[in-house]
Amino acid sequence: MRIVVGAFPDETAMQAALGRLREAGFNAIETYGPKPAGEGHSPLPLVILAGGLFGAALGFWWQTHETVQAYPLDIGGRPLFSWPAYVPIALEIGILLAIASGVFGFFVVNRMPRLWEPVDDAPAMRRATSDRWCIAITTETPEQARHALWRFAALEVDEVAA
Amino acid sequence: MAAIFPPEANLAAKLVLLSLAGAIAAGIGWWWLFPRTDYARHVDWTVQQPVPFSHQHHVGGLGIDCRFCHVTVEVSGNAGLPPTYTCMTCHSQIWTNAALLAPVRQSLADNVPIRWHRVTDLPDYVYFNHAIHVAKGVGCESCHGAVADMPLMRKVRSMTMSFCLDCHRDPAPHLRPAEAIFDTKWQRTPDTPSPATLMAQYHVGGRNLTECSICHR
Amino acid sequence: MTRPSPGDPVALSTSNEAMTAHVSAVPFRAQPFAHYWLAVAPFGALTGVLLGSILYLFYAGVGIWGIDWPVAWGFALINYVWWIAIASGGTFISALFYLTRSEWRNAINRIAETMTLFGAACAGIYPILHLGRPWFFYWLFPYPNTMGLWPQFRSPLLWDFFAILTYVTSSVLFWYFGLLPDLATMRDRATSRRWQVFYGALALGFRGSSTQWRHYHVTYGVLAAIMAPLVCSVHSIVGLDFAGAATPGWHSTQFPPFFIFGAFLSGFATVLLLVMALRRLLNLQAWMTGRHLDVLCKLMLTSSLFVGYAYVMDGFTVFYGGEKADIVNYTARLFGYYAPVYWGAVLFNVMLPQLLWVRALRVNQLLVTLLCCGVIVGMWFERYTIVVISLHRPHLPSAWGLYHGSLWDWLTLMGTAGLFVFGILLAIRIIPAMSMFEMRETLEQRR
Repeated sequence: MRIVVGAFPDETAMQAALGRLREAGFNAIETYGPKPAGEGHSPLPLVILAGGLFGAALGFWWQTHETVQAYPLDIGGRPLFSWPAYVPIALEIGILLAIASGVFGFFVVNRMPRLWEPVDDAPAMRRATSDRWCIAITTETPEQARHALWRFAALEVDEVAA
Repeated sequence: MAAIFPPEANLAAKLVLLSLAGAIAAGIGWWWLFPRTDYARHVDWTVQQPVPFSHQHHVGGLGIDCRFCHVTVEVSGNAGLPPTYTCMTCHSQIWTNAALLAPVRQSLADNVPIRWHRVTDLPDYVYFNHAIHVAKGVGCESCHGAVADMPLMRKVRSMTMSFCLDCHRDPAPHLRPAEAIFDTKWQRTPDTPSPATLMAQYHVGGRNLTECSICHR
Repeated sequence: MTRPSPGDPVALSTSNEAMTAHVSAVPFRAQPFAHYWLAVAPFGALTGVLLGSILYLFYAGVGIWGIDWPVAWGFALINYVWWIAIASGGTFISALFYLTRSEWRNAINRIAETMTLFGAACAGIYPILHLGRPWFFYWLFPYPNTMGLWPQFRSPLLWDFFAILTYVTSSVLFWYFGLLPDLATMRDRATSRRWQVFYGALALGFRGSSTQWRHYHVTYGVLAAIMAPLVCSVHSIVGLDFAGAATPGWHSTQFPPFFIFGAFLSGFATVLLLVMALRRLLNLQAWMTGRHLDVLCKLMLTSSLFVGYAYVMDGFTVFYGGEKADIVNYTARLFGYYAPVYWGAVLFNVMLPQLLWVRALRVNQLLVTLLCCGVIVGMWFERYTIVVISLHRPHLPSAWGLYHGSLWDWLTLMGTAGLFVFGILLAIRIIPAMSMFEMRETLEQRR
């Protein structure tokens, strides 16, 4: 297997080429670009929600356990289970775990850290984080992919081992 | 070859991050665990004394009562250590030439007390009163262990704050009948009054025993 | 460069590449820009002063400070609240105005977030220092301990511990997450092996694939939506630290929002000050234009009005409530020994910012700089008012007394100011001072 990388000057050119490549029957395609692109489904909001709810529940349970069971302190005869006072800490722990699960969840979902990927060997990729948009095609027939990329107005085409 | 990192870097990065996390977790774990070890708490450490006095021999063997030497335990905060005269009650008659007892004779001759080393030492910010504990049904054994079995004295309880609080929060199971206070081998039997009865007998429970100022005055 | 004007576009039309090249070149420069060392040297020295005064504090104890009865909280609490307020303003800009899709936010959010980090670091030092035995600071945290004790979960002071813990940790994570694409850019633009490996390791293999961007975009939005209410909760809890105590001058239900208003004001002023300084130092005028100054000035003016409202309500609740001790306390604030401090706060926080109603003055950099410095000092006066003036007239007249910060109090305060600027100066030599990947979107929209 080979990876063929084509670089385009802007997002529109890349998108146009992408559509025509798909039509031409290339399927194993990944694109790279220097700014957020592509709305789409991601499990991460749910991960963050779960992290936050778990954190808040944990915080609330924790405070209940300590104040009611582990270390009951009678303060002026007030009830031991004084739940309104547990809300702020439960909220803070919930937020902490929500943010942490968002950031670390992102790394897990993307299987990062991945300091190396085969596509890194393509010199064109070095500008994909600045001002170029790249299309990487993983294919058995690199010759066809190269031709297609040139035909669809790539500025630069590289081929690397997959 | 344009890639910045070689393929092995992927595994290396993960290993580095994992070992970093592992090191932090292990560090916190050690910090948490170490003060809980018997080593850090000096539990079961035998303290070297000027004279290798054996409680096993004197209490377990000869049957001398705790209060024969620790005379103020029932009336004062401090249990008291015996003056050399107490030793000499017997040792002016027996083992009068024993090399082991030379420091005792020396102490008598010089009129200088023997300097024993503390085995059970509480911090200065903790106020502990022997008399009240003994009067309210807490046996010597509860804190000092089976002294009658110790050839040399050692610390057997952690003496941490939670050790004290465990009993102050729920004293009932730790109480014993008055006649068993000084018996270091006493065990609860079917005839022993129930914990609740003992609580009532000793009038324990009338006030909050976990009040900070009970120990920190 | 022409003079900035409120009508400036949010960014001059520059290409992606020009912007990226300019911003990323700063850390790669072998020789720092002009005047860099001139700025680093004094603030580095002040950081040394901070270290020195902390070491002496650990050696000698809090007796070296001016605190005593009745003012047992002094500079430590003033400075803590002051710094955490400054820090909060940064998160507010980067998180809340991300959600409102404000186009001016992209150029300054990196500065704002970096300011938050160092502001929070300065703030976080004080609660630890003010403990009699700072090496036991972890006793604040509820962990299963050999004493069998747990802290009081019903106290705002413990809430505060959790709020700060969450805030500092989340700010660092949010900041780092926002840096990720820029770190990848830096990795790919670096020419020396050293920088490649450094940024490469930090970027963790972010390479801008469509999959990464998809997850990134969604996650960043959700995180921003969480960070904005977090800031409000943190500062409300700081307000509750005071309001929860039955002390005249503190025991007021308006404290949580009052503290949030103050956080906006001092945070916006500090960001504005940094934006004006850094756009000049790093030649970022093409992307931080008169429009940014104008917007930040308007925000400062708005929050100044909020703060003014809170000052009025302070007086209103005292007389509406009619409690004798409150009235005595409040009168002492207006006319007593410390009255100049209170009126200084009113002048700097409420009166002088009203100049910003005038459009032309909002881009007069000299005037705005002075106003920002005034607000920062004025907010410190406000904290001084809350802490010292309230405490020096407690319920019992026999306990009345005065307070003055000692030399060590002042040195520690100056020291944290040094740490703050020193940290930011070091940071802009390592990280891009502008969020490049977000600026690409702004530039795209301009085209």
